[in-house]
Amino acid sequence: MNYKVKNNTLDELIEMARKGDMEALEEIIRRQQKNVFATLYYLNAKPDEIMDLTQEVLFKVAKNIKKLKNPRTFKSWLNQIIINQFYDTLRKKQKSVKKVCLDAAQEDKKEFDIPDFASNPYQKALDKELERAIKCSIHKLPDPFKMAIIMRELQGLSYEEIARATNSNIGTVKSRIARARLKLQEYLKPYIS
Amino acid sequence: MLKGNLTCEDISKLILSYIDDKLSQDKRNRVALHLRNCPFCMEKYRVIKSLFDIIKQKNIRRAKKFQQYRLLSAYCDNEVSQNTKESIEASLALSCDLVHRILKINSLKKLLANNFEEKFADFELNLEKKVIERLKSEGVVNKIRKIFCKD
Repeated sequence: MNYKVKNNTLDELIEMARKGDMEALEEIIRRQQKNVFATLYYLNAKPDEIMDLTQEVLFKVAKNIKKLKNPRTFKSWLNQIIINQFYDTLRKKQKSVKKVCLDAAQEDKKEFDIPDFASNPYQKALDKELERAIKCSIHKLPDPFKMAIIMRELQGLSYEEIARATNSNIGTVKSRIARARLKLQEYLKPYIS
Repeated sequence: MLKGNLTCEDISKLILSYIDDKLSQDKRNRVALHLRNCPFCMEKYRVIKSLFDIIKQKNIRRAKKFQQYRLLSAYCDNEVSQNTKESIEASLALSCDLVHRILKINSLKKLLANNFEEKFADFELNLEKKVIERLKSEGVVNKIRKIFCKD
């Protein structure tokens, strides 16, 4: 790990990367990769494609960071890239002759294996069940709701940043988040006290 | 078809538009005239009108409920104006239902946040080196391409 850039804020790193500092760029990617991966995971990208999609998104970030004029819009910009990459892949899949099964049950079988470090086996099973319930509930949401709630709860974007990333207005973002929450409350009723 | 007095059949076709206030002044008057003189159509009108009103009321209630939920949801994210924030907080003391709704939203937020954090806590990707390598190699390829293009 490079300690020179480790303590810089994201804004500072973006400024440095825009001027061609490769170490700053590497640090940005190091910090953002998990977010990108997790977002694609909850957007319901195919498990065996998430890693490739993540790499592609990060590569686009690295390649185009010099074009980003205002570092403050980085999060919206990153999410625009994620959304575009996600839809591009879907479109290509629809065009290809090979039939792609979008059945959720089939996808679950190919679950992307993320190591689970919980010590107690009972707790582990419960966590797994809750994790699965949350994932399925988010996957069930219509795309615009799904995107808004992921950006808000997973990545902590402001409503303004979400509006910019999804090319909509703040009122729409408010509605989408509220409706996503209503639906999630309904789906996850047994787990909400 | 609609010249002269309207028939009961005409009324059947026009009744929904009449209730929904979508008819021209002339047609509306003629429908009203027929209804005054025809108990059968009048009864039909009353039944449909009452159904319409029930649906309308339900929609209004739903819209109000949703409007409020939208504000509460944004309030939990600290994304409302100072005025809205104050009016929601003033209402909290008066409404258990409102408190309950906010607790539910916060409980969902916490559930999701904990889950996201735990799920990816020990997850390592280490893609940064790969991405930078790819960027550099693409840069080299582009430079070579430029040299050849110049030649």
